[in-house]
Amino acid sequence: MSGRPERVELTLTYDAGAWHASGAGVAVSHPDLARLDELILGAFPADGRPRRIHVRFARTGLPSWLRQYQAHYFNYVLCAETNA
Amino acid sequence: MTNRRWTSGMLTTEDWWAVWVGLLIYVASLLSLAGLDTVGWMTRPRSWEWTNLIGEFSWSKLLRVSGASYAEWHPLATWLATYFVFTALLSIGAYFQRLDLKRFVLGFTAIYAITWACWIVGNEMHLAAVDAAVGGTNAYRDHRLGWGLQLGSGAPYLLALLAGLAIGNFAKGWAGKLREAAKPEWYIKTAIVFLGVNLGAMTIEATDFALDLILTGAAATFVAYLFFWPLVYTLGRRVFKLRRDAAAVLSSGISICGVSAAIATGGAIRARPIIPVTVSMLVVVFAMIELLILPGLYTAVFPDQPIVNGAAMGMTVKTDGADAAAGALLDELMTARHLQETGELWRSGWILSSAVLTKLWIDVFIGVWTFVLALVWVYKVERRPDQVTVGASEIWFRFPKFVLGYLAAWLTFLAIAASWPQHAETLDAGTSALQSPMRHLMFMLTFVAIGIITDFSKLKGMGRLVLLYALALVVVIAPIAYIVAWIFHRGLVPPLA
Repeated sequence: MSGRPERVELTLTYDAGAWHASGAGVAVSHPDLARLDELILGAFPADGRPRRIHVRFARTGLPSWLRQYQAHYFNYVLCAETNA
Repeated sequence: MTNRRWTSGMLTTEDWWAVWVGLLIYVASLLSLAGLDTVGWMTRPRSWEWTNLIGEFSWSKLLRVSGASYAEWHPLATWLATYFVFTALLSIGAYFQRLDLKRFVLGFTAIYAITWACWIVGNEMHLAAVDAAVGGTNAYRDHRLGWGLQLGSGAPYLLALLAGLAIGNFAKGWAGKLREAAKPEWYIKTAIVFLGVNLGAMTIEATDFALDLILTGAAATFVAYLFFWPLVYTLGRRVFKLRRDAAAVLSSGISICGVSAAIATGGAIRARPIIPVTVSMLVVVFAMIELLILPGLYTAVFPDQPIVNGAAMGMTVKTDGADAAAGALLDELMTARHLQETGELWRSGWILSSAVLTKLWIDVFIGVWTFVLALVWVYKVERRPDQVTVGASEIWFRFPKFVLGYLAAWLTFLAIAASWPQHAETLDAGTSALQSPMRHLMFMLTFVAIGIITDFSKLKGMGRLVLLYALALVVVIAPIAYIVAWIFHRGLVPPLA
């Protein structure tokens, strides 16, 4: 089963030594970002639907004094091709 | 709050609010073309001498209004009008940025009062007057001054900086209360939008010189990049044994555009936020040290290379606020010294523009640079091209938006003056409040605010990183920046006023 990828939005934060991703019914945490990505991919059902998971760092996660210099940290997209 | 669309942040970031505030005042000033003076209420300090003031006190000896339409107003009324307009505009911005509005207004009021106290005191003739004839008069001789520091308009800047630093380092409790309104990047970016109008006027006066400055500034920046980043990265990895991610973030912070580069690089390589935040603390404090040292040093050592000095400043000082502030101070100190030594008065703003233009190229390039780095990191370092992709929108999110305001002001001024040359003089006069007193006010606010947020004690406990930063700055960045600036700009001097 394939077709147009489902678009999913997650918000990423970093707190207390761990990355946290939440949104679309998913809430996962891990100290290592690559491992967090695996947890995110594993959180979606293996229904064979391709997904593009937009992971966006919350601007408020940067210290407030820092935001006047740069108000964007990073966004990225996880491409999930789950098998049914 | 995340960056999702290209419009994200338009109402919630200082960067965009510098554009809105700057352009709103600029558009208001354009009404002069229709015969309406909507910005002439802006007041400015006069040059004054203390025995003369005490002899017969008058506010009009300290303050004067910019526009002839407001000449009948009491000087204090124009001062209050200036306060209310800027407080209102900035408070609207603060509201949308979700700052604590009460703390912002109170903090801004205090910073505004400190700024004006420094601005007025700094215009006392014993501090500012230069022993040379300007426009046929020599104020220094006319007032029979027995002594004088002859700092020109650099005197208020130095006072503002020292006042801010004193608060930031010796009255930390008060500094904490003022911090909500101590936004040097916002103030300086607004000033840079105003500077776009100056560049428009300067381009008309000396087109070839302005274009040369812009193009060689871009080339110099590119050449400097080729050396800075790899050298500092190698130093960090080989000599200081930093982890790859820490070395990359630190190299960008030191080499490119400071805090914004450190955060952008941290984001590009998906580093824990603590790494760019730590580097950013270093950058902010070192930028202040550079601001304190470099303008005086360049003026003393290279007094005959004004544009080289400005461009070198732009490549060396790593935050927009500190760079523009250092450029403004350099402009005033060098102009005063040249006037004192030769009797020639350089046109104000060219040395500052060389510092700012060079820095703008660096700022603009950071989005592209970190996008490339992000791709390299995902595809070559983490080796996850099948799972992770990075959108080109990252370039836009990291693009410094105030540059759009600067370009809009510059190009529209140029277009209007070129299309209707018969109105060029009216345009120049109508925007003069932006070109001088408003720009100076925003610079003065920046000097005070940057001092307030700089706490030198933050360097404690960062031993190895501080050593690397200092070493890279002294051995790599400053000398190479100066050599590159000298190759591209040597011999250039501002036109005479």
